[in-house]
Amino acid sequence: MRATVIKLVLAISLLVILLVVGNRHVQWQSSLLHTLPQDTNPLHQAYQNSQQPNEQQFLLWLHIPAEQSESLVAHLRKRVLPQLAAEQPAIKPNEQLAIESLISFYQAHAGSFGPTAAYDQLANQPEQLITAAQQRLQQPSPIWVDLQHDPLLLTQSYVEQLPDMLVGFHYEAPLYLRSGQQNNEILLVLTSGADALSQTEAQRVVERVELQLQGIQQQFPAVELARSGFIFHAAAAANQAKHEMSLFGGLSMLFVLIMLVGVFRSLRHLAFTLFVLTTASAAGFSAVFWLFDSPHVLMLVFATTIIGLCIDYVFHACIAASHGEKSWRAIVPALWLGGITTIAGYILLTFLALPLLQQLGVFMAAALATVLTLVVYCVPRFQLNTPTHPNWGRLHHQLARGYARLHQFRPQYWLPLVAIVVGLIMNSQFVANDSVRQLASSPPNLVQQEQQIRRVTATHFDADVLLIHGNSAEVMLQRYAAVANLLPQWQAQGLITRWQSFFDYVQPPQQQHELQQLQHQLWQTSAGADYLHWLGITVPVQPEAQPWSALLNHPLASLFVYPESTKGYLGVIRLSGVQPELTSYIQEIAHAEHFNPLTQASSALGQYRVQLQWWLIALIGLAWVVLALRIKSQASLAQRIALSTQVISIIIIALGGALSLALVAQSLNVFHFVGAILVVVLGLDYGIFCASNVHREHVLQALSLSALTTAIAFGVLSFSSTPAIAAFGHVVLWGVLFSALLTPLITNKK
Amino acid sequence: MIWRYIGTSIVCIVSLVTGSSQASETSIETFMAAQKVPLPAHYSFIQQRTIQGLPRPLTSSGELLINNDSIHWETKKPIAQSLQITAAGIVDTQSETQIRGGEVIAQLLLAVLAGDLDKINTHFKVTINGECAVLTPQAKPLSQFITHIDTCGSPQLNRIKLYEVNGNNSVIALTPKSPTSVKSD
Repeated sequence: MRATVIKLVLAISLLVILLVVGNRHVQWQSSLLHTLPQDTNPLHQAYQNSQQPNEQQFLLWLHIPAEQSESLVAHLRKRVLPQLAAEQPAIKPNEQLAIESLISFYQAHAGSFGPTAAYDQLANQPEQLITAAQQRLQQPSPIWVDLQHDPLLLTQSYVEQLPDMLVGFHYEAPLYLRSGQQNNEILLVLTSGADALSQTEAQRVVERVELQLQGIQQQFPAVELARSGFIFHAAAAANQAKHEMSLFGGLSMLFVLIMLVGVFRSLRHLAFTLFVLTTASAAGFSAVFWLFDSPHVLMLVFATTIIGLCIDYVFHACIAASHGEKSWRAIVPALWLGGITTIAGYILLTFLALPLLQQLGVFMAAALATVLTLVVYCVPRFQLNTPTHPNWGRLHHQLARGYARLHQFRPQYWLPLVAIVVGLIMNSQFVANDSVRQLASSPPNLVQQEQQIRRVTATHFDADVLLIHGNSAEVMLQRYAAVANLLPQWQAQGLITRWQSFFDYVQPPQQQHELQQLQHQLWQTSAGADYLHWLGITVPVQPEAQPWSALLNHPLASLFVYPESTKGYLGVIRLSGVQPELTSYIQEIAHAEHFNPLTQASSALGQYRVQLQWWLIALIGLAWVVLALRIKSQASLAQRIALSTQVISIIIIALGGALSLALVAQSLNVFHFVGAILVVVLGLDYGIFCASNVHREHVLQALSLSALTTAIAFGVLSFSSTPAIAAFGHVVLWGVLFSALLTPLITNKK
Repeated sequence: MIWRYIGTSIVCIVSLVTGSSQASETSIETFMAAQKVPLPAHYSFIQQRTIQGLPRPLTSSGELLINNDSIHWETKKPIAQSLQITAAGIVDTQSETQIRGGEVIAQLLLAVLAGDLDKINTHFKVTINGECAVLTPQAKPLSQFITHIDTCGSPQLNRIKLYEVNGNNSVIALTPKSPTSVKSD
């Protein structure tokens, strides 16, 4: 006993070291989109990578009675913003849209940019432009272009007609303001500088912002607030996952403790179960920390299911041990066979390219291996052989007799038929929906605020973008400009409703040159010469033609043009209201591609669901073969095939029933099939124990205890507010219950 | 974008016209408080605009009528132009085109005309220099284009000087007129 304890202490010490060291470099992720497989298209990758600064950006909208607006603005300027900027990570106004850099760019290009209408007017009615410029010059308003380069103020007019980034709001650095009849609106565009993917930093940023917002609401009770930004959703998702993990894990644990104390009437069993569970969890987390840099918080939620599986093995082992040496010897092979098939199932999960499932597979495989080792090693050595409560024994004696009577109806013959019928019904009912939108789990209040801000700012564009590629900036910009020319036409055809393009803010070099040429021609006419004379200046010198790459000096270029690491440049046009017919138009354009990250992610999820379906079918087929060869090794091949067929039939029935019931709540997605994996591996366990030489009554005692605890552990997940987790919970709850009810029908008689 | 500053400048100047004509007190508060004038107020103006790169100032002239809920800015020479400023925005009455974002400026302007000195104090640092009040913009967007505005004349306001960041400046000479001599739109 002493040697056993020393060995265990040494092993656990090693495990703790691995856990602590491994945990040091881990950064938890919380975005559901980051659970998805990586898109291998380099254009898509470049675009997705370019969006990270946007993830750091967030907006606060404040709506306040007009009479309090000035005070609130002063409060924001003097208290809120300095305090947000004071701590790390600093939260500062986003200066990307600041006017200074924009003006500076256009000043350097005075006379080269002009309103579209100016081209026609220069050619046909130049007097109108001259009059407009004279009127402008006599208005008591600032003139910021150099008149010697832009006598007609064309570039200043061009800038005044540019689309606003935040429609209707005027910029009073660093605030955007909009006045109404009775209420005013204030918009704060902030950037945190924090890594939005780091749950710790995101939480810290959100906490500091919330603290300031609380202060505002206390000082200005009439203010209405809304938040928008990835960081709020990330923090909410993380909080929700953590809350659910502690709630569901706690409930499962409580139920298990009650069952343990009630059935075994022993604190030693309780202590041993907690020891196995803690050690297994530590092993699981160590494996995840060493193999993954950024585990996902959703993995924690799925990982709570280790409680149910751990209990399963502890119960079977302890109940078998309580019935003597012979019973223990009979259960050990079943424990190994059941354990190893389950672990193998989880290891196979790591071959799927879904990071969340890989992490879950690693965690569960490592944790279950630990459970299995500890159970087989410790149960006989620690003499965990206390008999179960007599009532528990009597109940299962009755149950065993009841199932024995059912064996008269030869379930070995009709179970496969029922499995075929259930499989066919399931196939006919099958409806899948792989949209990632279904998996969104942000709190409704936060979603409403997001929609509110999108409504008031009118800045929301759908996730649709046009990606334009070029090996150099010049080539890409030429292609970009050609596509941008088509946008008004597409809008007129109803293929899109709106767009946002770099060429809304700049004009191609040849167009700039054309504008200069037209002005030069005007100066040769009497009207042009008279105007220059009125100004008292000579004919402007035509500037040298600018290269395409000069456009990249525009302050907004970084919102539309992204360098690809070594493969040139990527241009982005954001679209809204895209109709499916647009795809055929875009396909005709070389080097341009319509991309929607959400559609892409949904498509990826769909592909992986299909992969998982085929993987499950293969697993079931493989399990049938392995069981036919290994189950009850002293039996004949025909008997082993019959047993194997019964086990697999029950798994199919349980799976079909569970998925059919899950369909009532929502269409099937990849997470239902993650649950299906568990149904299959648990069904295999139950089937192996029922088909083993262990006394059926003893198996039922452990099986019902295990199934109840497992169903509770997984069943509570079906109440999760995250649809992905709920889908998982539904399938496992019903699948486990069906498996537990049906596996005792297995008859190992000839 | 720039239209905002056009309107803001108009606001500044008109607010000074209406707000500085009675300025004779030495303290800034008293000086500013005395700026309120009975509305409607009616002025004729001559503007001399010095723009960098131009060899001589550009001169324009016209009339200015300020009512409780609107301002009429009418240039008569060299090019006729008429601007109507209300809470709904700023409109060129000849072309019937609205200056984008003008409603914000118009509302600010009307608040100033109603005697809301808080707004002036919010947007400008006010000092007295001889017979001129010197208003230096506090807020960044305005200060990017205007260095300061001088309102001069004692006891009657007769001159406004607007200095732009890029070296341009405008001097607007004002002469009070009878409030009924210009038809208000």
